Parts: sequence; structure tokens; C-alpha cells
Amino acid sequence: MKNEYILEGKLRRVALEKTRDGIQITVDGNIRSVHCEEIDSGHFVIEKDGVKYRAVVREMGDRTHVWVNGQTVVLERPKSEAVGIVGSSDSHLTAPMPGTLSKLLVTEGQIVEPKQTVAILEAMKMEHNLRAPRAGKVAKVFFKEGDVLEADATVLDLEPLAEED
Amino acid sequence: MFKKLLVANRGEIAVRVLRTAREMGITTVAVYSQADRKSLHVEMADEAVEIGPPPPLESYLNIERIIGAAKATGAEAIHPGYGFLAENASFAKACSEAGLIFVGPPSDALRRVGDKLEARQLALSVGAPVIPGMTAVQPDIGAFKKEAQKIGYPVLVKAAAGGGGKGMRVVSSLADLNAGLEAAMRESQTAFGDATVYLEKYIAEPRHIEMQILCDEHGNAVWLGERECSIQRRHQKIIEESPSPVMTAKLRVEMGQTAVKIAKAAGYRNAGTVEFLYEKGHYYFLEVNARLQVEHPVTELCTGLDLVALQLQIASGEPIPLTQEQVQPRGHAVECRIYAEDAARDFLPSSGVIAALAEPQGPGVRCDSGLREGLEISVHYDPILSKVITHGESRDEAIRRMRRALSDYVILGVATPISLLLDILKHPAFLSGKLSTHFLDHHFADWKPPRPSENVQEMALIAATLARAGARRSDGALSSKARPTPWQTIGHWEIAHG
Repeated sequence: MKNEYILEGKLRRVALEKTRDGIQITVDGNIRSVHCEEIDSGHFVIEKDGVKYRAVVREMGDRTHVWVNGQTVVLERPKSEAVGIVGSSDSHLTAPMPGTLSKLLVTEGQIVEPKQTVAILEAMKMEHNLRAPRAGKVAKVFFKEGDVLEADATVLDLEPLAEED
Repeated sequence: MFKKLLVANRGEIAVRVLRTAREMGITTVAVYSQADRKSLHVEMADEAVEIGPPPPLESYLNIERIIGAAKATGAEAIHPGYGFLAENASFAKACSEAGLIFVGPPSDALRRVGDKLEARQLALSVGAPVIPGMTAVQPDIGAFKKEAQKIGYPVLVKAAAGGGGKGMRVVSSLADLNAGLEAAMRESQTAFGDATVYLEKYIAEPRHIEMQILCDEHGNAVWLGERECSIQRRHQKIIEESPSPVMTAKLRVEMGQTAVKIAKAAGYRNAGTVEFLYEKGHYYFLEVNARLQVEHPVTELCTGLDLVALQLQIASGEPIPLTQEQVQPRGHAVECRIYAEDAARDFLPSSGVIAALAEPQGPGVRCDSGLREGLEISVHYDPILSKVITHGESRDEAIRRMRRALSDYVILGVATPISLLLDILKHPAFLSGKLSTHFLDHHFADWKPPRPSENVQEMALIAATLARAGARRSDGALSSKARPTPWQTIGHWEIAHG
């Protein structure tokens, strides 16, 4: 089987191929000489050049989290669509984490300045200020105070200010 | 000793208290919100009572529901853990009015020391050194402006009911005072149900050193040694240790005696912590934490005592079973707190499901945890997941042990600060004991998680692909129908090509 992941922004390809001797592993087209043991489902010991790596794998949606010798590596599945920007863009302000919208400081139609705090999100008893990424007019607010937001939920849309005075 | 104990908390601390209660032959009752139905503490207790919806105000802070649960199950005592109602005098009072033993100080003492302002007055009254600032509730912003002007900026706005860094703001100029006060008041209201704040001088480069004490109702009091908790983020401790690298035998006795004096003046009972700031050879009383603290295991490993057992004995009216001379700490202990948060993204809380878990073990390693695989980490509560505590004959040994333990700790599903903790534990300033509460700002402000080596990256890619193949295999997609694939049958195999 062939597998593709995005790691540190780069596309990486891994292939497992059945051969008469066992399985051949290639990473980005290069054959890897490794020694693997499956300890349990999603739990491996892999030896390469005399060094042993313990690995625990969990797939979570588009991401695969792999713990390797004390470090956690997050692999992403390449998306078919163009790589979207996760997080706030110029025209949308999104929640960086799940939480309760404890304070909404702007209303639709209001003009905001860059970095102005427009809302306060509260999670695990800590407050986080959501700031406008740039100047603009609040076009639409999608939540009200007290609403529970999921991570990456769009809180509000900003539209650019008119050029003329 | 009472026969049945209700634990009014959740997560790792509920589990920790339940363990000791079970060891003492006490029947246990857990309480839980609807979000925690499948939590470890619920599973571990002999009985469990649901007390309401996930928001803390409707469950873990709901005094009526918790007392009701104790009455309904016939519990005689309530252990509040830390956070939630642990330092709530109304709760302690409600317990005693309902004929229940509150495992903690009496409500008057709680009120006295729990109110940081009264605690400051108390410390002054016994001649303890205190930080310059307010000693009484102030009616309006004018008083804050005046006091800040008097002691000089930067100043610290603190919740009178506070603890754990909640409801606290550093204000560096008059222009920021209003915003700082508002934010602190709002956070304090949410966390403690009380918006009262006060102001004190902001000490620039302090070390945080605290003294563990015990008091009983027979007039006995002992101190159990200090903990240094200078490594903090957002005013919240992440690494604690004992003894403090700057402590001398003489200073320890002086701080221990000061701590006991303050506690006695407050009419304090049960386990407590007197916190101090330390700078350039001087120490200042900070506040009393009238509860079992998150970092209590550090003292337990050094003294060999079980603080929860002592709490339960004291609460049931027994005298402290040891004298000051019998307290003989040994070696060095270090604790690392494991939070569900992303250290690389300004410690943003991280929620999710614990997808994989393997907790560290071994000689001198203790892991206090409320985790299990499949557990959902909700946004409603404090993000602490677990604590790793190590003990060694020397500081160096305890630190090396901690590094080993943390690099064995597998938690997948939520972000944790383990890689940051590992980097701190090998930083020269940490190793030489040069600490302050701004340690992270000074040395780790631009910290990025260490980049995995190319080998580690490749192993991750290979393991992920093998796991995927395994998953597909069990669906029958990759393997031919009834024939097992080579890696099923061989189990142990080697590929050497090229």
C-alpha cells in the first residue's frame, strides 16, 4: 500500500510492498532497511542502524499522531482541495480553541481597528482575547455571549473599509 | 475515624484522595458532572452521585447538590481536594451545619486566611514580613490609583479570594489599571464567585518558596519543609521541587516557624501551605493556601508521609501523630505538571480525547493521574491532566529520573507541555538552580518544540503506514480474504534490501 503525509509542510510518501521475503518499505522512493515488530495495535518497535525506536500511532481525523521515543510527531493527510489556511484570515475571525464566548465587544456594522479586542473566549477558566486581524467593518457576527464554540469556528466576518471617505 | 468519605472533586486529585481513603478502609463516594460520567474517579469510588450539568457552577461548585449527595449516601465527611470549593468558607460552614466533617480548616479560619487581605493583616500581626500594598477592601478605583501611586508601578492586581494565578493581572501603568482591574474581577467572579480584588507591589525577580504545615485541634502544629515553585507560566506553577536550591537549614527553621505562627494566629486546622516570595535573601509572606495543594506529593516523597491520611486523621479529631523532631525529610523531589495545553501556542488549552496513554513508572517515580485511554478532556475544567513526581538522593538524580520518566510518558490526543518540560530540565540555569518566577520569560520566551530528527520523522511515517495497513488488514481490504498477511503471521520480521 502507498501512503502520503504532510510533515513539516512537505509531502512524504511511504510504500509497503509485499515481496517473497516479507515486506519492503520505501520512504520517498528510498528503500529503508529496518526491522519492525508490531507489539500491539498501533504500537511498534522499529530498529534502524542498531537504534531502536518505540512508536505509538493514533489516527485522529485528518491527522495521525505518532509518539516516537518521547517526541510526538503529527502527520497530516494531504487534502484533495487546495491547502486551506487554518485559523483567522483577513476576512474571518476564528476561535483558536474551543471555549465559551464570555464577552462580545462589537456589533454588526461596527468599524474595528487592527488588533482591537473584539471578543473574549473563555476555556478551562482562562480568558483569551480575540483580536481583529486588520481594520474593517464587522459584516456578520455568528455567535452571542454564552455560546460554546468549537475550535476553528468562525466568530465573525470582517469586510474591508470603503476606499472613499 | 469516620467510615464514609465523599470526595467533592474530579480528575487526578479526586483519584489521589480516593486511593488513601481506600487504604484506610474508608468507604468512598465520588460526585460527578454530566461531562465526567466516565471518569476514573467515578469508576474508582464505591459509590458515585451525579450532581449536575458540566459547567462548574451547576455541579462541582454547587454546594447544595454536594451536601445533598453526602446526605443521600450517608457520608460523614467531605474532602474538597483543591480548587472548586476547597477554600470556600460558606461550603465549610454548610458542611458543619449539615453535621458533616469538612476535611480542611474550620470556616472562620478559612475566611480569615482565604481572604488574602485578612491574611496579610494576620501575617503583619505576628511580625511576618509582607509585600507592600493594600491590607483592606477598597471601595473604588480611586483607592487603587492612590495605592498604586504610593507603592509605584508595576503593581499586581490580585483576587482576594484567589489562588492558582486566577484573577491576577500585572499592571505596569496608570493607563492599564482600569482594564487590569476589570479583567481580574471578571476572572475572579468566574473562578471563585467573588469579584473582590486588591493591589500589592509587584516584586521583580522573586522565587516562590512555600512551607507545608499541619495543625490539629489539640493545639499541635508542625511544618514539613519547603517547596520551591518558581517555574511558572501565567502565574501557574509547572515544576516544583523540594528542598529549594537556595534554602539553608537556618532559613528553613525561620520560615517554618513563621508559617506555623501565622497558621496558629488564624485558628487554622488541617493541612495548609504558607506561601512566600523570596528575593535576595529576604522572604515575604504571600498568602495561605488553605487546602491540600497540587504539589503536595513533593513533600510526601521527601518526608515519607501521606498528607491525605494526615488530613483525614486530623479532620476526625486525632492529634498529629508526629513531633517536629520526627519530621526528617530525605533526598530531593521534583514534580512536573502535565496540562492539556499547547506550550508552543502560548499554552492555549487543548481539548480532545486521550487516544493513547502509557504512564511512567519505575523506582522513585510517581504518577498521579486521572487519565485513561478514551477519556474526553472537556473545556469546562482546569486543564491539569496528571503530575509526575520523582525522588532521588540528590537534586541531580531526581532531575535525571524526571527526564527519563517524561520521555517514557505517552499521551496522544491532546497537546501536553512534555517537550517543554524536558527542555527546561536540561537548561543550564535550571540545573544550576538559578530560578525565578520569570524563568520561562527569561529563557523560554521564543521556545519552539525541538524539531524531530530525520530518523524520528521517518520512523513516524513508517509506523503510521504500518498502523494504517494494519487497520485496513482487519477490514480485509489489504489482505486477501482468509489468508493472513506476512506481518500477522511472522510478527517479527526484517527487511534488508538495497
